[in-house]
Amino acid sequence: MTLAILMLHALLGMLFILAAGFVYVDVLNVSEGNLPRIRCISRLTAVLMWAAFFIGGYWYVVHYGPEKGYILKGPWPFAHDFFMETKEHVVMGLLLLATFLPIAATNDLVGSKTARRLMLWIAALLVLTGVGMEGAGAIISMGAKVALLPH
Amino acid sequence: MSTSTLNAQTRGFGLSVAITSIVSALLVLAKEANPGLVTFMKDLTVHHWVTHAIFDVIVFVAVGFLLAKSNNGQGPAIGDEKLIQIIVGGFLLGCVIIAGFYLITG
Repeated sequence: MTLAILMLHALLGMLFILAAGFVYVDVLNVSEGNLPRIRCISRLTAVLMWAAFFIGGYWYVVHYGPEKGYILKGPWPFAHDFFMETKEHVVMGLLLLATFLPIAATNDLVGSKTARRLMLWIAALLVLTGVGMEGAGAIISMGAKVALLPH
Repeated sequence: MSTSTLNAQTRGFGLSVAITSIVSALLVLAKEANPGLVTFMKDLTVHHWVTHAIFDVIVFVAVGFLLAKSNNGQGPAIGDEKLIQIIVGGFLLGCVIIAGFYLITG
Protein backbone atom coordinates (compact mmCIF):
# COMPACT_ATOMS: atom_id res chain seq x y z
CA MET A 1 0.00 0.00 0.00
CA THR A 2 2.86 2.38 0.85
CA LEU A 3 4.47 1.76 -2.55
CA ALA A 4 1.10 2.25 -4.26
CA ILE A 5 0.80 5.68 -2.63
CA LEU A 6 4.31 6.55 -3.79
CA MET A 7 3.66 5.38 -7.34
CA LEU A 8 0.38 7.29 -7.44
CA HIS A 9 2.29 10.41 -6.38
CA ALA A 10 4.79 9.93 -9.22
CA LEU A 11 2.00 9.14 -11.70
CA LEU A 12 0.02 12.27 -10.80
CA GLY A 13 3.21 14.30 -11.07
CA MET A 14 3.82 12.93 -14.55
CA LEU A 15 0.24 13.65 -15.60
CA PHE A 16 0.66 17.17 -14.23
CA ILE A 17 3.74 17.68 -16.42
CA LEU A 18 1.90 16.35 -19.48
CA ALA A 19 -1.07 18.64 -18.80
CA ALA A 20 1.18 21.69 -18.42
CA GLY A 21 2.98 20.75 -21.63
CA PHE A 22 -0.40 20.38 -23.35
CA VAL A 23 -1.32 23.91 -22.21
CA TYR A 24 1.99 25.25 -23.55
CA VAL A 25 1.42 23.80 -27.02
CA ASP A 26 -2.25 24.79 -27.07
CA VAL A 27 -1.39 28.40 -26.17
CA LEU A 28 1.11 28.49 -29.05
CA ASN A 29 -1.82 27.67 -31.33
CA VAL A 30 -4.51 29.62 -29.49
CA SER A 31 -7.78 30.54 -31.20
CA GLU A 32 -11.40 31.00 -30.19
CA GLY A 33 -11.83 27.30 -30.92
CA ASN A 34 -9.33 25.91 -28.40
CA LEU A 35 -9.68 28.64 -25.75
CA PRO A 36 -12.20 26.66 -23.64
CA ARG A 37 -9.87 23.64 -23.79
CA ILE A 38 -6.88 25.72 -22.65
CA ARG A 39 -8.86 26.97 -19.66
CA CYS A 40 -10.13 23.47 -18.87
CA ILE A 41 -6.68 21.85 -19.06
CA SER A 42 -5.22 24.72 -17.02
CA ARG A 43 -7.68 23.88 -14.24
CA LEU A 44 -6.87 20.19 -14.63
CA THR A 45 -3.15 20.99 -14.33
CA ALA A 46 -3.78 22.73 -11.01
CA VAL A 47 -5.98 19.85 -9.76
CA LEU A 48 -3.32 17.28 -10.69
CA MET A 49 -0.65 19.30 -8.90
CA TRP A 50 -2.75 19.57 -5.74
CA ALA A 51 -3.52 15.83 -5.86
CA ALA A 52 0.17 14.95 -6.32
CA PHE A 53 1.05 17.35 -3.49
CA PHE A 54 -1.48 15.90 -1.02
CA ILE A 55 -0.60 12.28 -1.76
CA GLY A 56 3.13 12.95 -1.76
CA GLY A 57 2.77 15.03 1.40
CA TYR A 58 0.88 12.24 3.15
CA TRP A 59 3.58 9.75 2.21
CA TYR A 60 6.34 12.14 3.31
CA VAL A 61 4.81 12.90 6.69
CA VAL A 62 3.63 9.38 7.52
CA HIS A 63 6.01 6.96 5.77
CA TYR A 64 9.26 8.71 4.87
CA GLY A 65 10.91 8.68 8.31
CA PRO A 66 12.35 5.13 8.22
CA GLU A 67 13.44 5.54 4.60
CA LYS A 68 15.23 8.76 5.51
CA GLY A 69 17.17 6.84 8.15
CA TYR A 70 18.29 4.24 5.59
CA ILE A 71 19.29 6.91 3.06
CA LEU A 72 21.38 8.89 5.55
CA LYS A 73 23.27 5.75 6.62
CA GLY A 74 23.74 4.58 3.04
CA PRO A 75 26.22 5.54 0.31
CA TRP A 76 23.94 8.28 -1.11
CA PRO A 77 23.10 10.56 1.87
CA PHE A 78 22.85 13.48 -0.58
CA ALA A 79 19.64 11.85 -1.86
CA HIS A 80 18.04 13.23 1.30
CA ASP A 81 20.36 16.07 2.30
CA PHE A 82 20.10 17.84 -1.05
CA PHE A 83 17.44 16.28 -3.25
CA MET A 84 14.67 15.59 -0.73
CA GLU A 85 15.23 18.80 1.24
CA THR A 86 15.15 20.84 -1.98
CA LYS A 87 12.21 18.91 -3.45
CA GLU A 88 9.99 19.17 -0.37
CA HIS A 89 10.37 22.96 -0.29
CA VAL A 90 10.53 23.88 -3.99
CA VAL A 91 7.30 21.93 -4.51
CA MET A 92 5.44 24.57 -2.47
CA GLY A 93 6.32 27.29 -4.98
CA LEU A 94 5.40 24.92 -7.77
CA LEU A 95 2.01 24.36 -6.15
CA LEU A 96 1.32 28.10 -6.10
CA LEU A 97 2.46 28.55 -9.69
CA ALA A 98 0.20 25.69 -10.79
CA THR A 99 -2.69 27.31 -8.89
CA PHE A 100 -1.97 30.57 -10.71
CA LEU A 101 -2.15 28.93 -14.18
CA PRO A 102 -5.99 28.82 -14.43
CA ILE A 103 -6.14 32.41 -13.10
CA ALA A 104 -3.81 33.56 -15.89
CA ALA A 105 -5.92 31.57 -18.37
CA THR A 106 -8.93 33.82 -17.67
CA ASN A 107 -7.31 36.63 -19.71
CA ASP A 108 -7.94 37.35 -23.39
CA LEU A 109 -5.42 34.85 -24.76
CA VAL A 110 -6.54 35.32 -28.35
CA GLY A 111 -6.25 39.10 -28.39
CA SER A 112 -3.39 39.73 -25.95
CA LYS A 113 0.18 38.75 -26.81
CA THR A 114 1.20 39.58 -23.23
CA ALA A 115 -1.39 37.19 -21.80
CA ARG A 116 -0.08 34.44 -24.11
CA ARG A 117 3.52 35.14 -23.07
CA LEU A 118 2.56 34.91 -19.41
CA MET A 119 0.82 31.57 -20.00
CA LEU A 120 3.82 30.23 -21.92
CA TRP A 121 6.22 31.25 -19.15
CA ILE A 122 4.09 29.65 -16.45
CA ALA A 123 3.52 26.42 -18.39
CA ALA A 124 7.23 26.17 -19.27
CA LEU A 125 8.26 26.69 -15.64
CA LEU A 126 5.73 24.07 -14.52
CA VAL A 127 7.06 21.52 -17.01
CA LEU A 128 10.74 22.14 -16.30
CA THR A 129 10.36 22.29 -12.52
CA GLY A 130 8.03 19.29 -12.62
CA VAL A 131 10.64 17.27 -14.52
CA GLY A 132 13.17 18.33 -11.90
CA MET A 133 10.84 17.10 -9.16
CA GLU A 134 10.41 13.73 -10.92
CA GLY A 135 14.18 13.43 -11.31
CA ALA A 136 14.75 14.28 -7.67
CA GLY A 137 12.16 11.66 -6.69
CA ALA A 138 14.02 9.06 -8.73
CA ILE A 139 17.31 9.91 -7.02
CA ILE A 140 15.67 9.72 -3.57
CA SER A 141 14.27 6.28 -4.42
CA MET A 142 17.69 5.20 -5.67
CA GLY A 143 19.26 6.54 -2.48
CA ALA A 144 17.01 4.23 -0.46
CA LYS A 145 17.67 1.32 -2.81
CA VAL A 146 21.48 1.53 -2.68
CA ALA A 147 21.29 1.88 1.08
CA LEU A 148 19.44 -1.42 1.34
CA LEU A 149 21.59 -3.35 -1.12
CA PRO A 150 24.10 -5.80 0.46
CA HIS A 151 27.55 -4.23 0.48
CA MET B 1 -2.59 50.76 -15.69
CA SER B 2 -5.34 51.26 -18.21
CA THR B 3 -3.13 49.91 -21.03
CA SER B 4 -2.70 46.51 -19.35
CA THR B 5 -4.30 43.55 -21.04
CA LEU B 6 -4.09 41.42 -17.89
CA ASN B 7 -6.97 41.38 -15.41
CA ALA B 8 -6.66 42.41 -11.76
CA GLN B 9 -6.71 38.81 -10.45
CA THR B 10 -3.80 37.88 -12.71
CA ARG B 11 -1.83 40.92 -11.63
CA GLY B 12 -2.55 40.41 -7.93
CA PHE B 13 -2.03 36.66 -7.73
CA GLY B 14 0.90 36.80 -10.13
CA LEU B 15 2.75 39.14 -7.81
CA SER B 16 1.65 36.97 -4.92
CA VAL B 17 3.33 33.92 -6.51
CA ALA B 18 6.61 35.84 -6.66
CA ILE B 19 6.32 37.23 -3.13
CA THR B 20 5.22 33.94 -1.56
CA SER B 21 7.94 31.94 -3.33
CA ILE B 22 10.63 34.19 -1.89
CA VAL B 23 9.01 34.35 1.58
CA SER B 24 8.75 30.56 1.60
CA ALA B 25 12.42 30.21 0.69
CA LEU B 26 13.39 32.64 3.45
CA LEU B 27 11.27 30.61 5.89
CA VAL B 28 13.34 27.56 4.92
CA LEU B 29 16.51 29.44 5.87
CA ALA B 30 14.92 30.62 9.12
CA LYS B 31 13.86 27.05 10.01
CA GLU B 32 17.33 25.67 9.35
CA ALA B 33 18.94 28.42 11.42
CA ASN B 34 16.50 28.15 14.31
CA PRO B 35 15.56 24.69 15.64
CA GLY B 36 13.09 26.36 18.01
CA LEU B 37 11.10 27.61 15.03
CA VAL B 38 10.93 24.06 13.64
CA THR B 39 9.65 22.81 16.97
CA PHE B 40 7.09 25.61 17.13
CA MET B 41 5.87 24.85 13.59
CA LYS B 42 5.74 21.13 14.34
CA ASP B 43 3.63 21.80 17.42
CA LEU B 44 1.09 23.77 15.38
CA THR B 45 0.27 20.76 13.16
CA VAL B 46 1.57 17.23 12.80
CA HIS B 47 4.76 18.27 10.99
CA HIS B 48 6.74 21.47 10.38
CA TRP B 49 6.42 20.86 6.63
CA VAL B 50 2.62 20.81 6.90
CA THR B 51 2.67 24.10 8.82
CA HIS B 52 5.03 25.56 6.22
CA ALA B 53 2.68 24.54 3.38
CA ILE B 54 -0.39 25.98 5.15
CA PHE B 55 1.53 29.20 5.83
CA ASP B 56 2.46 29.49 2.14
CA VAL B 57 -1.12 28.95 0.95
CA ILE B 58 -2.48 31.52 3.43
CA VAL B 59 0.14 34.10 2.39
CA PHE B 60 -0.51 33.41 -1.30
CA VAL B 61 -4.29 33.79 -1.01
CA ALA B 62 -4.19 36.80 1.35
CA VAL B 63 -1.55 38.75 -0.59
CA GLY B 64 -3.20 37.81 -3.89
CA PHE B 65 -6.64 39.05 -2.82
CA LEU B 66 -5.23 42.27 -1.32
CA LEU B 67 -3.17 43.08 -4.40
CA ALA B 68 -6.03 42.22 -6.78
CA LYS B 69 -8.29 44.66 -4.90
CA SER B 70 -5.63 47.38 -4.77
CA ASN B 71 -5.47 50.43 -7.07
CA ASN B 72 -9.28 50.79 -7.12
CA GLY B 73 -9.77 47.16 -8.09
CA GLN B 74 -7.38 47.32 -11.07
CA GLY B 75 -4.56 45.45 -9.36
CA PRO B 76 -0.94 46.55 -8.93
CA ALA B 77 0.13 49.41 -11.20
CA ILE B 78 3.02 47.61 -12.89
CA GLY B 79 3.66 47.23 -16.61
CA ASP B 80 2.74 43.85 -18.07
CA GLU B 81 6.27 42.96 -19.15
CA LYS B 82 7.64 43.96 -15.77
CA LEU B 83 4.97 41.84 -14.09
CA ILE B 84 5.99 38.76 -16.10
CA GLN B 85 9.63 39.36 -15.20
CA ILE B 86 8.74 39.64 -11.50
CA ILE B 87 6.63 36.47 -11.54
CA VAL B 88 9.26 34.39 -13.33
CA GLY B 89 12.14 35.98 -11.43
CA GLY B 90 10.46 35.60 -8.04
CA PHE B 91 9.63 31.95 -8.59
CA LEU B 92 13.13 31.14 -9.86
CA LEU B 93 14.77 33.12 -7.04
CA GLY B 94 12.81 31.10 -4.50
CA CYS B 95 14.00 27.87 -6.14
CA VAL B 96 17.62 29.06 -6.30
CA ILE B 97 17.65 30.15 -2.64
CA ILE B 98 16.37 26.73 -1.53
CA ALA B 99 18.55 24.62 -3.84
CA GLY B 100 21.59 26.82 -3.23
CA PHE B 101 21.21 26.59 0.52
CA TYR B 102 20.99 22.79 0.54
CA LEU B 103 23.79 22.54 -2.02
CA ILE B 104 26.06 24.43 0.35
CA THR B 105 24.92 22.88 3.63
CA GLY B 106 23.60 19.46 2.51
